[in-house]
Amino acid sequence: MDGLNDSFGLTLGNGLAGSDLALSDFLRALRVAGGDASDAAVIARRLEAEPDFGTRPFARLVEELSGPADRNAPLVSEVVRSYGADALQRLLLRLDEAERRRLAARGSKALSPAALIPLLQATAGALSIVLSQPLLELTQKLAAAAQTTDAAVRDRAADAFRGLSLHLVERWSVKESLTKSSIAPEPSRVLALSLETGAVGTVVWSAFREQSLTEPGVRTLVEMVTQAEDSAAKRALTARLATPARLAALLREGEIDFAAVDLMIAHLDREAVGPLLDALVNAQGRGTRRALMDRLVRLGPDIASQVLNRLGDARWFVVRNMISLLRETEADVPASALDPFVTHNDARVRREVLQLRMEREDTRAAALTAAVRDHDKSVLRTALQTARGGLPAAAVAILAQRVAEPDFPPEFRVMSLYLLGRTRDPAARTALLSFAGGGRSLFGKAKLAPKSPEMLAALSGLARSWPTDPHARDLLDVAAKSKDDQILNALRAVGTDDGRGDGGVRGPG
Amino acid sequence: MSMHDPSHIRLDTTPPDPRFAEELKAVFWLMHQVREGNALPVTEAEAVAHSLFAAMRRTGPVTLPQLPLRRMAEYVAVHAINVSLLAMALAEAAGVDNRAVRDIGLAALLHDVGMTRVPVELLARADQLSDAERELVQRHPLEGARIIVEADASLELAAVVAYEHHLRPDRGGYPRLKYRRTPHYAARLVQLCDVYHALRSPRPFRQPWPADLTFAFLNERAGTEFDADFAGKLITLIKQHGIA
Repeated sequence: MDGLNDSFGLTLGNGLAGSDLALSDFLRALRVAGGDASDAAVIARRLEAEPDFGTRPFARLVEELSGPADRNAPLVSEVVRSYGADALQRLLLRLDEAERRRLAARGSKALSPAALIPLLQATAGALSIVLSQPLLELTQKLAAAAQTTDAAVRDRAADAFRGLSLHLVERWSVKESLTKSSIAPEPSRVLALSLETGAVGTVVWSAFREQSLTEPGVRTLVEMVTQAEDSAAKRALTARLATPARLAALLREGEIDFAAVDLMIAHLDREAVGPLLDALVNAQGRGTRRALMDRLVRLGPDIASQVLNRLGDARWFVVRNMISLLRETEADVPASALDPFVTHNDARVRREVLQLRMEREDTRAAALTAAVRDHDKSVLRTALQTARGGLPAAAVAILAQRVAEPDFPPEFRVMSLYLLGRTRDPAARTALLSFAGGGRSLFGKAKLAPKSPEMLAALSGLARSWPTDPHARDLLDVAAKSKDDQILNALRAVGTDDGRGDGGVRGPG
Repeated sequence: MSMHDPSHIRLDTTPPDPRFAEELKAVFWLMHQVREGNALPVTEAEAVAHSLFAAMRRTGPVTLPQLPLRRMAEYVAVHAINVSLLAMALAEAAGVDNRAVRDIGLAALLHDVGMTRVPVELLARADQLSDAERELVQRHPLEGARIIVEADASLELAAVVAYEHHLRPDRGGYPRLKYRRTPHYAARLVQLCDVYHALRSPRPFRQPWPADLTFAFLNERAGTEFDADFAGKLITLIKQHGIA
């Protein structure tokens, strides 16, 4: 057994078999058995001859070293060196990648430079990394310097060599330095460089991660990226920067930087909807609300599902804004989803939902009917404006009735009468007659009501829609004999009222 | 003497320094790799910097070896190595730790790597450059930073030094920055070593500057164009080591 006695072989065998045997126990056993550094080659060959190549015990031999000053380091270094690069590579291939890197990292710290060269070569080989000739020459040169007798030279070279080995291992493992230099540049400086040169790479992502650890850091970064000219770096950084959480943080700022917000929205697209809706719900100023709404609207009708989820909010303004978004995005919303809001107790919500429904073909008639029934002025105004395009039959009866009610807002009467004057519904005729007529004289002759805008509007409607109706005819005949130009104009305005409620009485044009 | 070595320019005639044969070869090789469009061979650059770091004590106490420039074609590689050695010595004099010294050495080694993107003919020109040509040369910090960042390794300091080594503490210099900042500590340090070595070296368009003139130049501009503290330390260091 190459000079080793039986008892040493037995000890070694026992050490290898006991996978949970600590290195110190193993080495103590070796020493007891008479093994020392000179036996390293034999130990290596013996390990190699073991089932599974002695891989695990070998890995433990290296990993349990505390550093170059560990008293077992010389022996283990000799064992490693005795293996040689090829055998080491075969051995390393039996480890998984993480184990290989761990072994190389530990070895870099503790093994002698002479042992490190084959270990690094083997690690590179196992990881399919080619070491260039210049690199090999330089590592050998450093290793040689690290073994000179001059202590000052040796220490510095060994330090440099271990530093280089660690660099190599770190580069093979995570492509990033695991430890930071005391003069490492601030992450914001690296990010500025990236945005100014357009370059991206490991250093930039590392700086990005560090810069993103704090809120102020993120704020600075967002500012920088927003100001940057378009480049691959700007696009790449924005893509990493743009997260719903960061957008939410931006939107929580007292004064929102909408340029930065837009940058994030461009990358987040639908993911931006949640934070934007949250911000909209909490926005204080009208200008901010409008700015947020504009951005949500630009995201298009696909935001509808998220908007609908917010309709359960108890606050009227939230519901109003959500409905407004659905309207402005022209989202395809099932009619039933908005039914409950037609009778919402806040008129501002009702106006919004009715406006939405009035704008859509399939719900216009029902919405108009509901709106003309509404006692809120703003809802009614919206309804009357919409009704210029035509008043559905169900709405005519309601409006005809309401226009005569004493509490009907007087400013809407004229407009209502003109709208009624455009239909042939008998309910409308009754209303028109009541406003145009002033009863009958003692001789039973029809009389016009005192002249007023309402009277003129009603007269115009009768002339337009009921010219041959016997009840209307009497009044129209009286009006035709009038010497009042406005009354005569009302009769002539037939067919010219465009429903604007501004008095087709003013004539065409 | 090659066709790139103008006859009237005094090149160094001292024999090549055998101590740095591997480093010089490695730097030539890595510059060639980059010039050919390959990624920066980071590991080799790190190995050179580590080896130079070790070399400074190879003969016992700290030394400041400087390679002779024997052929103009060697300028970029010799300049890289000499600036790296100067920068490490200056960093040590400034009291930074070993790891930082090596990082500065690596950054200094790569500070002009952007020159690999400048046409060789321009670098060898003995006459004055046109504005457009000068602009091209002045892009080397930006190109260098790109090369280093895109090498996909943890070379933050090297990238920053390559980018900022022509910026001045008084905010002059180039490239123009979009985000206002003063040059990084290591960039100010390397800038000084870069200028010192460039002035002391023969160039196709001028003779090397004598030491006293170079010191006067650095002293005059200390505090404006150059970091005053580093300028004082570098001059002292060079005088101490007798390499002036």
